[in-house]
Amino acid sequence: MAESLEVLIGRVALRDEAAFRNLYDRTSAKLFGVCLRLLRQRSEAEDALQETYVKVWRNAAQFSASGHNAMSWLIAVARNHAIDRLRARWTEAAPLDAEVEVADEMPDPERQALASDMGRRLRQCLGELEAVRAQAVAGAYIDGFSYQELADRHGIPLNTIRTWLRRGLAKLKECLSR
Amino acid sequence: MTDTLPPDDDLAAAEYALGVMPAAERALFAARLDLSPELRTAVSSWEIRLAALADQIPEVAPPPQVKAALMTALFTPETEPRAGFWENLWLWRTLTGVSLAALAVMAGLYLRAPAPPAVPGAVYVAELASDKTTVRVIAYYDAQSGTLRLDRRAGEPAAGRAMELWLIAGTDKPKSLGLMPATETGSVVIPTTLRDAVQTATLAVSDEPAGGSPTGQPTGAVLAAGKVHSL
Repeated sequence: MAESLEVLIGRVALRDEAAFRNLYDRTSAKLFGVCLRLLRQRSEAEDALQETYVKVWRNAAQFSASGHNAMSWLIAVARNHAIDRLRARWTEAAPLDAEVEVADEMPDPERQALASDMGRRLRQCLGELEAVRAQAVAGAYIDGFSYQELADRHGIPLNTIRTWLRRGLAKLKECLSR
Repeated sequence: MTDTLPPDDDLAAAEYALGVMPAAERALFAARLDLSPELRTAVSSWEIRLAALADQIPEVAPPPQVKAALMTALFTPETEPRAGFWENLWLWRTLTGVSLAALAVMAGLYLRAPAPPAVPGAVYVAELASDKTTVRVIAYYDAQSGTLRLDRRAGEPAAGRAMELWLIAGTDKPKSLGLMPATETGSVVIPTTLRDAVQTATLAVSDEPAGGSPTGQPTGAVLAAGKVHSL
């Protein structure tokens, strides 16, 4: 029987190379999808994926205390790294690769996260938010939109969008804790 | 769970987990995260709350060369580093110039960012990077305590080698600030005689034999460098 991802990360924390290779094989397609969606450029997403797994190798010991399950931890490592890269694009937006499809519209929260129980609850609570706020949360998470990009997309001044999104997040937390 | 934190900190944790903060604010929040287990818990809780949104992102198999490069980078001892780099002054200037430009933009972003987290005393920051390596270090200097906090975001020493941190003030010879911490984050206390120089200095990381430079001056390649800038 295959070991759980949690067990594999535990073995990676003990510097087990075979466990690391196995973990990569089983999770890299998801993390590459995440990097590609956020960075929208294949070569940069490949770099980010490699750096993400270097962090996984180095920081695996922090996993058990984080309260995460294996997949949510790995996704968080990948997202945080890709977002760091995204925000570090100081001067110019990287040109988009034609082969990478970019969503023109905000993701539809109604279609999200049907699979898991966590997903069902999240979808339910996003549904309790104003539709545009739910879209902003999903857009920030999935496509990596910054406050500036959200402000542009929603036609809301930059200094208002923050208060606006924070209120949505507070409400989301309240709903999820019910 | 996270309700012991002030509500503003919990929402900042949400913004960090979501990724919406501008770069400079994000870097400062990351520095706070290093110091606060409560804040780390709050960020993790938000990451867990939001994780199901990733269900919608399709899997894409990465090309096999990514795995090959990763395994080589992690598990193959590297061979000799490039030498002679330190004499190459123009490259030096390019490195620091690029970092300076990046930080000027960063400072601009920071000034426009609403409600920056409170940081006591004067704070200086340097981003150490190079287009020749993947090493990237963010350094925060707290002038009040003379502490330089180091956040190594990417890159690590080659097998059997060490990374040494240097302070270069004006045209002076580099002064060693000791070896980079083995962990991703750590701090060094700047000797009192060097503190005045930090605010306008350049920081650099060099590749050195394990245990550090035997000569008191850099002997290996510059892995990353950046100019100190006030925030």
